Amino acid sequence: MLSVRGLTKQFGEFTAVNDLSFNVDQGQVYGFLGQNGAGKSTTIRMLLSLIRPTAGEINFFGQSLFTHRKEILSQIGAIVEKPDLYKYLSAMEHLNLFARFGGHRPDQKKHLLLLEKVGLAQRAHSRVGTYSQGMRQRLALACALVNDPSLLILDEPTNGLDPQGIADMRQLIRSLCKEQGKTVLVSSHLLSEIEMIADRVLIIHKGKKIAEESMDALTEKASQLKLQAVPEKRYVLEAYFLSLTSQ
Amino acid sequence: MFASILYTELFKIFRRPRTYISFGAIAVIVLLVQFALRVNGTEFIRFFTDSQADTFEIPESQILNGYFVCVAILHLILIHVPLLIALIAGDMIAGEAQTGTLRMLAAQPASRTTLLLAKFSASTIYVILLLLWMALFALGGSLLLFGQEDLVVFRETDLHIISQQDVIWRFVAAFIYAALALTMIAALALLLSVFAENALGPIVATVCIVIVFTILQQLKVPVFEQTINPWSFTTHMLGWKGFFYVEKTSEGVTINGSIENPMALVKSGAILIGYTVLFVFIAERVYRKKDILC
Repeated sequence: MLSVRGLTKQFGEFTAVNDLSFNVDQGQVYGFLGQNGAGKSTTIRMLLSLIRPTAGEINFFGQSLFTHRKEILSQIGAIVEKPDLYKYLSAMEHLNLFARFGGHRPDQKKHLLLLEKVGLAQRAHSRVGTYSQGMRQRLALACALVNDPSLLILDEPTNGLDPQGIADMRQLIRSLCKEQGKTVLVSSHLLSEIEMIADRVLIIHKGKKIAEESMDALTEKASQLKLQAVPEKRYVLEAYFLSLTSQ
Repeated sequence: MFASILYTELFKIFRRPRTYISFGAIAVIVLLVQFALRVNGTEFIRFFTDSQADTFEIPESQILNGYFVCVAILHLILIHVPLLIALIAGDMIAGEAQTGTLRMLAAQPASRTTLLLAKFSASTIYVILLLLWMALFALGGSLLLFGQEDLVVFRETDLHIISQQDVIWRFVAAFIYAALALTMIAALALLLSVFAENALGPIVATVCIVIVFTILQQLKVPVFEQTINPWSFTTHMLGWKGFFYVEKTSEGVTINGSIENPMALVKSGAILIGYTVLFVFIAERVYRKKDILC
């Protein structure tokens, strides 16, 4: 589904992403982890053609992003960092707008169902300026889903959500993957969240890949390390992440 | 795809309360000028006629008509309208970069060129609607308030009297020309917007550029008159006045349907179009390759 080879981005002398390679298979929830400034958002921006890579290849669905941008992006929905939406538009108007951008006719019934799915149906016609950060995050997810993409790229999708919102988002991501066969690439600083939803995890540090494992393999490796910092089994990813990034 | 994006850009412009400030400002300014001329119009006209007392024979009450008031309003406010245009066009890219919505748009399947051209087209439509609004108030309102008579146009050492049957097409042409000039301002603001990540920067920069070139033009010093001013867009922005300068026979009778210097109008129009194309071209080149980091 997604193949990245030798991806590099330099800003002057600073190398934000360094020779990064990974694959995301169809139907996976692929966790993307790294400390602040590790290069996660820069990588995601390159995947969405917001930033031009200095070197490397990005292929989606067997096609190069650089030569088939339009076809590829029409199959991707994304949230990039904190989603700042149009404060003077309603949720429904946002969905209409992004449907048009995707080349589709707005479908009010479909959009209302989508807003129900993210828990915003009651506020479908309220201006986004009156929404909480969590509601904006939910709307951003609805905007990412409006054109029924086969791949979702979500950069910190649980930012600003309350515990119930985080649980709902987790449930939604899992159901998108299991029930609708969508592939999800999700970055988060909440390691426990990634641990609960990801099938496979990529960890980057200072722009370089330091680990890429399935969750099962990672759990096994972590137990072999006999990590002292593991307070409970479900925090194994956090312990493994800290052991790698502190080396 | 282009039509869809243009629709969404127009939808965003006209759903934003800020857009209506421009329409409100124009309505208020025009109404204030009309009120002032209704109350003190005779004194205003005397200001012009005193310098041409020897040649002047038309009563002031006839000069002060709807057409005259509309020309006076255009003289007074067209130079300030670029600020209202910059408010919208300068915000097109930089405003979205500032609020973080640009990255959502740029991650959509539409190409950046399509997005930029849709934004420019939406700005152009906004310019046209703003001018239609101005025409409604400045021409329609003035004709209702002051009635119709022949139009008297004052120049430094001369005056032109245009028959009322010959005047409407001149206003239509002048408004079309003004649309051309203000579209060029929209292109300039859009270009500056591409470089910025804060909406205020391109808006202020556009207004500053217009002010600087207007001052250079008004200084009328030879060094600028021979070098910068012939190519300065502010010189050519005022070309709309040319539609109200008519040819005269050797006996001094004005010729209906004529323009004193049509070639100058064509040249000015071509220069404005040239600047517009150049600004949009550079904006497209820069935006297409720009890393969207905000």
